[in-house]
Amino acid sequence: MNEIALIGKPNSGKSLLFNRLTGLQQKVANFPGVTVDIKEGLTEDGYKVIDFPGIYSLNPLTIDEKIATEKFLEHLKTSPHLVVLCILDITRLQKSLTIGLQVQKACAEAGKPCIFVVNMMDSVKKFGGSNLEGLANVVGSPLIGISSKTLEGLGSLKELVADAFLNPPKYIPLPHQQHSTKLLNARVREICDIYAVKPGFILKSQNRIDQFLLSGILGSIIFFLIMLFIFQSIFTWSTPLMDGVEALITALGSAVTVVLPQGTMRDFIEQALFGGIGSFLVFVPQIFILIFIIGILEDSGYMARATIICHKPLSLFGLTGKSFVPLLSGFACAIPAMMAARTIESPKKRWLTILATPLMSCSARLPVYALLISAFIPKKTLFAGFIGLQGLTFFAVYLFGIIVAMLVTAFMSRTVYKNEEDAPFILELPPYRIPHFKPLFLRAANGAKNFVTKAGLIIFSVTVVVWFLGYFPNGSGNLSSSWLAYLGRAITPIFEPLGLDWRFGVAILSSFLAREVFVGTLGTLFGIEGADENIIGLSDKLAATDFSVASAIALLVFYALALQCFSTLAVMKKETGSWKMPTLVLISYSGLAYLLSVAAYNLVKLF
Amino acid sequence: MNHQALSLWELPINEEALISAVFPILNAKLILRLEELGFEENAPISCLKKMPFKGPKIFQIGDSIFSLTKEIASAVTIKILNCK
Ligand SMILES: Nc1nc2c(ncn2[C@@H]2O[C@H](COP(=O)(O)OP(=O)(O)OP(=O)(O)O)[C@@H](O)[C@H]2O)c(=O)[nH]1
Ligand SMILES: [Mg+2]
Repeated sequence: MNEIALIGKPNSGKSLLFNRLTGLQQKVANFPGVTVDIKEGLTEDGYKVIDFPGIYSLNPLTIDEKIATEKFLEHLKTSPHLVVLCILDITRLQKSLTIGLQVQKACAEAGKPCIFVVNMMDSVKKFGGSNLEGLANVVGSPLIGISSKTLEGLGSLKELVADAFLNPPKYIPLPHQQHSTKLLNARVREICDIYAVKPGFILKSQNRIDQFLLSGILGSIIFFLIMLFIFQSIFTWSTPLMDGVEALITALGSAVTVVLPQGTMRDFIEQALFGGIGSFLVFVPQIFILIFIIGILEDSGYMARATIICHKPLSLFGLTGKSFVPLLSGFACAIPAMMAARTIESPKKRWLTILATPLMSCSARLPVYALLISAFIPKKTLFAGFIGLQGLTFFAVYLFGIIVAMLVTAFMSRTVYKNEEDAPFILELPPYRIPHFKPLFLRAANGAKNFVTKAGLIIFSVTVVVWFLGYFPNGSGNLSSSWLAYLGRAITPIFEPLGLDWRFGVAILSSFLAREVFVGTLGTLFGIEGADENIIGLSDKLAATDFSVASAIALLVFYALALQCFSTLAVMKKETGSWKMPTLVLISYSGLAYLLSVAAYNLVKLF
Repeated sequence: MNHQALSLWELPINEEALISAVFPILNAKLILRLEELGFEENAPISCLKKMPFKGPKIFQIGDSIFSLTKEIASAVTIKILNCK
């Protein structure tokens, strides 16, 4: 099969080009080290495109660079029909060529065609563009200017690639002499002196914004405000959307159940489908907004600045500024977050970051938090109406996870990981860019879709089982004499210290399959129990029970800490190379979750 | 020219300097990487910003902006060009 390899400096636009060529939606963002794994896709002409993590050199420093370098060299050796597209960022020509010329040399040695693709041409138009013909002559390989953003030059690029597959020898670079780094740097500098756009022009606006966003106290205040803004948007602004979805599901539920004849089938549809799965769909808007907002932040270029601002505070807890990106993306999902830690140079800090990410409240916990908070925390406002108590509770739960994570890493870095290999970081600051909203929107939509389909299947299966056991033998309204109640009472002693009855026990146990299942299970159980009521939101049903605020808080504590995600454990094993860390984490985080939630229950009950 | 040997960490903000050497106190991989990023003898470098509490500093080298922590920046020696 004909293969196209995309390789080059980090943040040069490889993944955006990959998306343009394949129509896929790989993650694109404005900081170095976004892609940390090999990604493959097909073009409409049937070529296979391979997107590699960005590298500064073929001498790797971090794990993502090691993966890229090893796999790239392997492809050079073994792939019979390969065209290498070496991406150069015209706004950072010097750093692009350092790796570019190394790649060109590797292609020459392997006898593989190499084309230089000069990306970001749109950004230098206002500075008079660049003399690409001259550049092509001095680098001695075919070279083409494009903009993955405006699609300029993409047609010609495709033609060039097709030609390279037909006449490979024309594109194979001439053998290089053996370069030392000194000679390589000298050559790059010579080329850039003539062909690069003056760095002064390009960096001017970036530096001006940095004067502001990176200035000591002001910078920290802005950072805080941005984080606060994220919270506000997720928890306050998503409310109307969530209410909308809830109203829609309720209306749909009523419409469907009205036309169905009374009986088991109707009960199933009303209680398991609309009650169970419906109550979980309500949270899709929140997931969407969360991913969208993090995406905006990532594409603006601010993440690299946040890394710098957070470096000192995080290093008190054994982490590094580079832990910030993984930790923040942990609020969406721990899995890509743990993989993002590959960009951390220090093995010790990478391990500690992986250890901390499962304690960041991921989006699967959102439905659980939101349900409990809206049902049990009063809708009061504090500080003269500026802050809602519910919003504050949300914030407190997230903060709780973060604090526990920091304590864990601070402890582990001084004990178990004390003698692990450490290394300082080097971080390139990307330019600021206005985020590309369309791809961000698509990514968020995709994330929301995955949330539904991935968890959806599990929730559906569990809901059906739970409904079946809860409905029979006596039917609607007789939950307490169902088979499930019989089984559930056996586990009551475990959850009694939290003030929870068997229904919650069943919901908690089922959520070890996936956290969101908690909501689905409760939705189904309360659906069976309250069968004669009209369909109302699950949180209203919960609020009507005699379940106490202390138990709600205990549950929040439990869900903030407990490790209830098998994929997290599997990825943790893959990233650390053994089952040691996942096993330890599963036991200790879940144990801690239980102990602290019992403590929280008893503490709150005192008041 | 009036030279003054300093480490990169001591370079005052907005002043330009030339790199003289990278001390081999860092590990070999890191030294090679610094070299490949342009941290080599006589390369011009300037410090754009520093963070409070001895946090990372921001440097411009060639066409790029990098942030380095104290560990790395104090292993690089420089000569300041225009002593004021
Ligand atoms: N203006 C402009 N921006 C671009 C262009 N191509 C990519 N970008 C932006 O550059 C940033 C980096 O793009 P990516 O595709 O993630 O870069 P990458 O090379 O895959 O980065 P790594 O995966 O970190 O190596 C994103 O913010 C893109 O939107 C372009 O042609 N013009
Ligand atoms: Mg990428």
